[in-house]
Amino acid sequence: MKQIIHIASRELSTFFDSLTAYVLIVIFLGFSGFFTWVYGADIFFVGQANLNTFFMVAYWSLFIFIPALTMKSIAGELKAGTLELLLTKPVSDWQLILGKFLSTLLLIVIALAPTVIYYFTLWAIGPVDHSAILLGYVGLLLMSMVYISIGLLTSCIASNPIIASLTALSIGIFFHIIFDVLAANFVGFLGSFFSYMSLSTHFESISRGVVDTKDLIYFLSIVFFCLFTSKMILSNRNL
Amino acid sequence: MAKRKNLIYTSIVVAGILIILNFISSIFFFRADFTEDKRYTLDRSTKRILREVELPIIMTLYVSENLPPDVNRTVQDLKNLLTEYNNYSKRKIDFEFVNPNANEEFEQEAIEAGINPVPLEVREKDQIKVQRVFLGMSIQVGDKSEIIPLIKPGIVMEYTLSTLIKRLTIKDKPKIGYITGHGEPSLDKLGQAMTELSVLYDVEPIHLLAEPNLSDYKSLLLIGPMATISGSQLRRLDAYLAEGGNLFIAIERVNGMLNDGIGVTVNTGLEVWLQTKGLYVDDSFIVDKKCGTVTVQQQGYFSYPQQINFPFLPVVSKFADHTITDGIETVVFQFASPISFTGDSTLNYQPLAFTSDISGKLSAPISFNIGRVWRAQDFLHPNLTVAAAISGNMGGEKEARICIVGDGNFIVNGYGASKIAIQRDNINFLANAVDWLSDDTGLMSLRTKGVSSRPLSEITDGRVFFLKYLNFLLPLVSVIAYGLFRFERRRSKRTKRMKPGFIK
Repeated sequence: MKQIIHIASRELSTFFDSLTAYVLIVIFLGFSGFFTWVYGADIFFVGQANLNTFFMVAYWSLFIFIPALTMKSIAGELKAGTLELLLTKPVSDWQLILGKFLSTLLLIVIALAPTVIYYFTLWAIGPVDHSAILLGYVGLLLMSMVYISIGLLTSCIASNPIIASLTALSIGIFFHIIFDVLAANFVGFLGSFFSYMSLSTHFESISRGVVDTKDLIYFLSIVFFCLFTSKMILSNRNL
Repeated sequence: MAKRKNLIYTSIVVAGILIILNFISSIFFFRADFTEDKRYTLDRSTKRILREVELPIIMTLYVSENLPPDVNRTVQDLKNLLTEYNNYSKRKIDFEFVNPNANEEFEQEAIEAGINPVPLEVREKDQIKVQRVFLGMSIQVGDKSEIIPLIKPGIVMEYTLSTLIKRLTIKDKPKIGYITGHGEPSLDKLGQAMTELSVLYDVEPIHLLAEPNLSDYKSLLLIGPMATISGSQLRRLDAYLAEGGNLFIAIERVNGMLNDGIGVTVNTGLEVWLQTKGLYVDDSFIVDKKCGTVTVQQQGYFSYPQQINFPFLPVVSKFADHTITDGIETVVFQFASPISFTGDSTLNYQPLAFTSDISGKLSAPISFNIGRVWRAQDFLHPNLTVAAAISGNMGGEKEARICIVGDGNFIVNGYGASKIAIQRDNINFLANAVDWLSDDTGLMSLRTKGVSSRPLSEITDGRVFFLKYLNFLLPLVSVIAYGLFRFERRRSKRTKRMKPGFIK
């Protein structure tokens, strides 16, 4: 655990020492704030004390934002030739993968943290359903976990960060859009299967304020599968 | 090569295990509802109805197969809901799925039950096809049955299901008397209200003098009388209350005739009788800044309809904490009058609904001017009471109850070309009030379930502007500020390190 935290904190520090993290967070917050408060179906236009608009904006922007964050995690090390150096340290493959995963997840938490002001503002001007909002954030974090794990997997497979990012985005498109479209095109078992595979089905279920074990198992299964495969790829590279 | 094969095999095994785990979890799952109003959990009214079920209930769902996923999800949700119903009813509910498209016999069975196929657009092989699907259910208890002809996707089914079960399992519906003979709207003008009340009660029109025994009625309804109510009839009401009777009154103290442009006082004798109970209904019109609109045809080069706020149509969303107002959000009135209490402490008085902070009253008679410019001095009476309840001994030894609303039209649909749809909460208010009067909390909490909206408070334009840009800019500024701070700190560290003689 100590090694995982150490790797995560080093990674996080590297993120914040470069301009990338700031640019991405500023773009994310800019988009979220603009569409939640200023323009379009913003909170005052809708007139309801909920953060549905924000969750929808964040749902889309995180999907694009995360592959850009994860692309360098392993592929960057491979390109710079630092991975071998890192693996000579007393760090297991699992610890490395989990450390990288945790650092990106913490970055997402940091990116989401300033949006807590939205919640307090809303609380001051309307009867907020606190649990539904809290679970909306939980839904965003679970969705982020899925995309981070996919990003890590593609970063392990590809040696070039750009290719890793594009591959992660392509896989993400399946969970984000294509399964939804397929679900709308098929009926019966296949329709239900694609609907179950679609991330939006499970995200919507959680963000309405209901915790369902099948949603949690769906999210955690993808995360586990991607991290496990990443670890296997990394281990095979070592041998 | 062997390593790669090993990696692929292991990944396939892990994926297989996870697929099985997901499959099992989609069948056996646990769900926790964290919403404030427990929208996705069975309501206490439903649980009570299900606990009281004695005879077996047979539910047959006539649902076609191969439905689009969104419709399938609704069917799956309904199946989950029915499983919960079954658990709470101690396995008294038996439900089965029938696919009417499977053979003609099933199709005929569905149609005979009253469930007809509906056209549904399905996308198949790049083509939009219209498919005839069955999406209904029948509920049978003994020899009685009810149907839901169409299960609409996205609709909360709990209220519909529980209402139908209650309607089928209720043994003797209590009788409610609807007082007539004084210009009250006929029952067919109260379509929505009667549909709601008929679930739990038998509503019968009565005449105060013709009816031999008023004590047969659990509650009496007196809605918008316009003609004089004689002293002897009022004395019968007194006697009814003295025996512990319950009365719902929607009083038309003032009558707004918009087409004639005038509003006048209505005197039926009821207002004087109410004063003996301590209830004073002022013969004035409530005006409220928070109000409905009227359509006005604007004249000019082009004639076009325009919606204009009309403060004589108060929109009430401020309620006291009471079983009658549980879950009620907005009740719309038209030409209402304020109510006040002048009685003593022998009666328990509870105001139920109030006008907004910017409201007032105008004494009748009055001429309406649609184009009137409303000013602050027109709204000098905030929080006027529009509905109230009293309970206590009223001339006898048993407790009697009265619920009064200062508008006789608030549940009137009308009929024919002039029929209008009434706000759902207006009907809920009446139904909850009748439940409270009749001491029957049957469907009270279920009625208002799932309709909750969470409107923002009224705030000034200046505050809206401030909050918009505060929320948009503050997170951005704080991240940029932190970045600059970190950059500056690193730069100063670097400068220190570059100085000659720096030793850490």
